[in-house]
Amino acid sequence: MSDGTAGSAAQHDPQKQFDLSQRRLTTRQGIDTEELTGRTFPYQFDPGLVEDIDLLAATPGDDLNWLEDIHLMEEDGIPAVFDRYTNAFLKIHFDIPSGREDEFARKVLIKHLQEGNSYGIWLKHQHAKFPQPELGPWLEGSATVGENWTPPTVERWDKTFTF
Amino acid sequence: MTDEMASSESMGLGKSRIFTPEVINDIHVKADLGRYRMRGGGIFKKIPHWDELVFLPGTLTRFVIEGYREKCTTKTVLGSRFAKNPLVLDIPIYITGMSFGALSLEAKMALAKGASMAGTATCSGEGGMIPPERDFSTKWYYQVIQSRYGFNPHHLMLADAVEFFIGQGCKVGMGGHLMGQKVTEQVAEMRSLPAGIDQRSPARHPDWLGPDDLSLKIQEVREATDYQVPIQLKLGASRVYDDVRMAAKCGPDVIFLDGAEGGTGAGPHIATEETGIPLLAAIPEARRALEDVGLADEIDLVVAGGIRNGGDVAKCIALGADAIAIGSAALMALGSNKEVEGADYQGTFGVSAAEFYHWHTGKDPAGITTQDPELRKRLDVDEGATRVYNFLHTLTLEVQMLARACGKTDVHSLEPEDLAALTTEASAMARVPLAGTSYIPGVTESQTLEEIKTLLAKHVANDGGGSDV
Amino acid sequence: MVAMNPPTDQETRGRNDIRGLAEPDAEAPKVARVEGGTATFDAADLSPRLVNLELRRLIYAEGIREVRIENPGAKHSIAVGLLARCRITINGSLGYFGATLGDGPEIHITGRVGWSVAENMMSGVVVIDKNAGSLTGAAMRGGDLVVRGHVGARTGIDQKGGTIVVGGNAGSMTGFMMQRGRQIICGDVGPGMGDSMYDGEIYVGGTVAALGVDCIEAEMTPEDEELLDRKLGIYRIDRPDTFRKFVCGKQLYNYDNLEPSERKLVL
Repeated sequence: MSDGTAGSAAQHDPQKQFDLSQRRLTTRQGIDTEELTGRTFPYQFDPGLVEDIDLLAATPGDDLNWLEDIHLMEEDGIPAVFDRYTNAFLKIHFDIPSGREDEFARKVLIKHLQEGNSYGIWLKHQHAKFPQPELGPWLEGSATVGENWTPPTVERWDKTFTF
Repeated sequence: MTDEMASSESMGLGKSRIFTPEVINDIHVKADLGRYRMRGGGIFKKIPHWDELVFLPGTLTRFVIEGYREKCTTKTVLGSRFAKNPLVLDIPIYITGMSFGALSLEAKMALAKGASMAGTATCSGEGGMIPPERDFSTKWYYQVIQSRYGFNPHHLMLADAVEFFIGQGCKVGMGGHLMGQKVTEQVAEMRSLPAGIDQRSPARHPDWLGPDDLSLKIQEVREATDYQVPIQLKLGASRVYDDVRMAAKCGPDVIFLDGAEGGTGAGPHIATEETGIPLLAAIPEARRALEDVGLADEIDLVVAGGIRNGGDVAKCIALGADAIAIGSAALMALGSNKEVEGADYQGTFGVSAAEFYHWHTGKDPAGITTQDPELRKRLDVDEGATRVYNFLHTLTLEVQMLARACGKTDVHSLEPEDLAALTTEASAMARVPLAGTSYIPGVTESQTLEEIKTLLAKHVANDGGGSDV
Repeated sequence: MVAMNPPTDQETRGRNDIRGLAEPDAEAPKVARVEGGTATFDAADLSPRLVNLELRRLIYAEGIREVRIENPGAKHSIAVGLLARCRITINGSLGYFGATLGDGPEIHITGRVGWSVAENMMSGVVVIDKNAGSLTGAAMRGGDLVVRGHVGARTGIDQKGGTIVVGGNAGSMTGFMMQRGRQIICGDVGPGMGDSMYDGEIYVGGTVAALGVDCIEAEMTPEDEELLDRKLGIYRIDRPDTFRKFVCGKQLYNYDNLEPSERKLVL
């Protein structure tokens, strides 16, 4: 599925966080982060990695702000949080202490965003057209994206015909 | 002696042209349903269409261009008015906005990939950005639509062009429709809606009402996107002259006109049949409006609606369009309305594959207008993309063929002068002469009237109107 | 064909639209004074384009987290599309589309605002000290939008999340087609409230002129009281003694299968 993928991201992003050749989409009903990115993230499995996230500090204003509308959902019978920045579900595989469902959903989502793992945001490396902070709403001093935009081309696609 | 009870066969009695069997059936269905009928697809009734125009290629009065050997350019640039990065398309055709929700993920991906292979653009449609589509699209429109479902300013940063959806030709004056069976949890979350509802998108934008506010809304999005990408206004073809004048004054880079022939994933049957004007009538009106406000060279015109082949595309260009968007035809290229393994169109929908219009049901046997995991397996993204590419390529070859025959080295050089009409209706609407004559209904008369007025005025000036006769 | 409005200056025509709004080639004016991490600039002589370029320069390029704008002059499209955490004080009033499309900024406007303030806000806080026009918080997706004065019609139209707090009264069709989120109106609300709403809650401290289609009253819960206390406390707005809560009646979710008795709802 990777052939034909538009891409010039590699030159912009030295980390090359996502490898599209790992993408494994199925015809499941939802778009799932693991299928989309072809990988998992440690904080999906280990509550210890998100326990310390300070939700109040991570959001504007004096309370949870936008996270108030983020709730724990379910995907394939597995707890999941919807990432509105990628329009995909992110599964949470660890056991969530009862009564703290929304809190962990929010912490996992914030961690996901702060680490720059939200795929829809990472796409700005490739497609942003003027300089802007990549993770501005969640992370102080994040990388600048959009400084040297070039139109993407179709990789490994030779046009047999020319007009 | 006539017998009033005799068979009506020979007399045509009982065969109403008003209350046809179809009409009677429609009334019966509505009496059972208690609501208007929903369906997918475009207009069913007969309207003046591209079939009623023909090209007048070069013979001795015009020099023709050698097919396959001499260059005939197809490059199309949209939005160079204000955008720092105009949209540069290799061909004058792109894939119009169709939502994820109305279409399956696989269909969106295949369209994006096919379009990129052909060097052209796709559009997000309603309902937000889906990463696999953006990945496959080298040129991608992000839609600012009435509902703003899933609208995310970060995704606005990913756009190569921004389209303001104001109306669509198929159901002018209405918002989108998506029936509950297609509003899955994924689709619902993207749109911040409860899952399973019948979703009726707003018909008006939430944050502006008229053209004065729209010009400010355009300014807002330009400020947010740093003037990097073109702003396009999509209008359903209705009062085209007035609407395009107003749209032009709102300051867009591109105006998109959608004719009544356009289709939809789901819409009320009454609206698809009864709203909007045909594209061949709309394009000349739009050109006249742009000329009259002095912006014909500034604002690009994109058109869509019922485009089937390169002939239709070439006729749009000849009448004054800069680019043509396709929707229904792209779905058919993907494999919609096609017999596929495991499909039973007749059994499931009671119609043949070719007559399948049930895109709204979410049960598309070809896996295109559905969210059903099993049906979606029938659409292979790579194969679909190749078919879409092949179709886009063929359309372009056909446009070039006609352009060369008309003596053009650039498809955009096609002009109204290259066309003739086969019916008076088409002639009047498209404002090209009826074939074999120089007569254009309406235009010829008003020109004659102008001549008479001029002669009269001269006459009055010369001898004071001859009052002493 | 003769143009009805022939452009007089070819160059102007190329670079500005008819209303003079388009300004593609501008650069940040670099007029801000920075003192102790706070940047201040006067917007009196700046176009919206220049104000926004200056804001982006300060917040995106310079990493400044506190900005103060003097003399905003009710200009349109100010502080739009800012996708970073920062605090902006706008000392005066804004026109249409103020503080829209933001993700992160906390914006305080000391005067009034025109239509569509904080439209499509993703997160952040927008506080307006005086009145707001119509379409306040249209299609908003998250964050807090606080208007201390009154608001016009269709507040929170197509709202998809977040909280809108109004200290005064709200006009007609408040919460029209609202999808998610919360509205707290301390004063009275005009007719058609919650018309065609899908979900979310509207809390009203004063009177409601009339409910819109498919909007019904619901029981207040302790969670609702906590929300009201919290939000009104944070923004120091006097809390009316009692609030009533309104939600979606959910009669119109599936128009495919409305019962005959429900059909007249949609006429």
